[in-house]
Amino acid sequence: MENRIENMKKEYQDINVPNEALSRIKQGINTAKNEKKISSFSKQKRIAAGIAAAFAVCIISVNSSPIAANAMSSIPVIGRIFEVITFRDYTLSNGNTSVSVKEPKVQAENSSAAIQVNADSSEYIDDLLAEFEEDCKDFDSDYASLDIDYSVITDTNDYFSLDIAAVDTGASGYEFHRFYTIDKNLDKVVSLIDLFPEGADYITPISDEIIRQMEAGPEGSYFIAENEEDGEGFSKISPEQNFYINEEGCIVICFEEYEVGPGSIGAPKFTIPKDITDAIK
Amino acid sequence: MTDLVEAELTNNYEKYYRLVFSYTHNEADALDAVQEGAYKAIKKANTIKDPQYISTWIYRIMINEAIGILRKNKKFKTVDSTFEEGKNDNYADLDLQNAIEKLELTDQTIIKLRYFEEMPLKEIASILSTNENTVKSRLYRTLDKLKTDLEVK
Repeated sequence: MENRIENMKKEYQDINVPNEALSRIKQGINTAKNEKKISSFSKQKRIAAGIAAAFAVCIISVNSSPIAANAMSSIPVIGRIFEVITFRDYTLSNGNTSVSVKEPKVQAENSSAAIQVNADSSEYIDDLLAEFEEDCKDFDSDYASLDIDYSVITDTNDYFSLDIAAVDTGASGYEFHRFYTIDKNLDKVVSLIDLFPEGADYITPISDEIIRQMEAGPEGSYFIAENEEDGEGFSKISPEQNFYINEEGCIVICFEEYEVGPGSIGAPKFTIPKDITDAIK
Repeated sequence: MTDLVEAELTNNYEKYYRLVFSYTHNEADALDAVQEGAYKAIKKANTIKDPQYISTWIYRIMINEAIGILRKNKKFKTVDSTFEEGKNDNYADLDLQNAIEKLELTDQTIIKLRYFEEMPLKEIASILSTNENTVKSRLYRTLDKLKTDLEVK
């Protein structure tokens, strides 16, 4: 087999490269260079230490401001109404490095779940910032940015789902999400396992549905494992899989970029129809 | 870093073109892909940390472009699937060529990089953002699959 493939190599190498190839590559290069010239009005190198200092100042000023604290406590809440305010919001830039952060604070009267989400998300954002700063120190690049933003995905009588999205356009160009879902009736931050009766197998039916949806998509869009032992590609969701609950009350299973498919498909999501989750007992 | 990326693109444009062409089988698409790939590479040149990885990184960009074009064409093809696609290349080992083209795109990529570009598994792994062992097991599985496919014929 390998010999036959080796034989094909010669033909591969004989693929005719038209003269135009080089000029088209150059055209791509020049377009990019021109666009860069316009956008980089400042060639100044970013100094990591400077960013670090600016961070510290910003965070302290917001967190320790009594006015800000008062403003937050004066928002009226009735019953189990969840309100989200932007707790920290700042943009820093230095040369071509920029950081933009919108940190949410979930407010709900007597909700320990809200407090838990706030504490956890705040810690998560701090971790992301620290990581980004480390990355900036490590690599000699003019361009890097980190954007952290949040959005309320769902706010129904029963559930509240919050998405914290981070886009790192530094070395990796990754986008990642962390979701928090609160069961309002139980006042509890729920993970997947909490949504089903104790001991019920929710992993298999949900995973099967995801595979069905993957297979229905264009061929090659997803990495599907051929069997469970196969370390690569999707075979089943993890018990703690990232998810949220949409307005219709359906579970939406979320994956990170590259987790179940090539980077070109982004971070895929799969909505699991109610009839499937309802049947899990 | 931009200069290094530019030099890599212009010095080795032929190998990037061939690889892209091996996906698109069509000159116009391959030219579009290399131009767009070159554009993206220069745009993002500053994000590369280590000059050692420039070529690996450009390969990744080019493969993504090629696959992106394939996807677009595929959508198009379903509209009129009776239309036979013209192919400029002519491999003598047609059975093998067909078998390779039926593989999942990732497996095709592994075969091409391993045997046509003679790339070490480690480099293939970093192009595909995965680890070496995964590439190795995927490669062996693919070879087995090709063997069975060709025996059936």
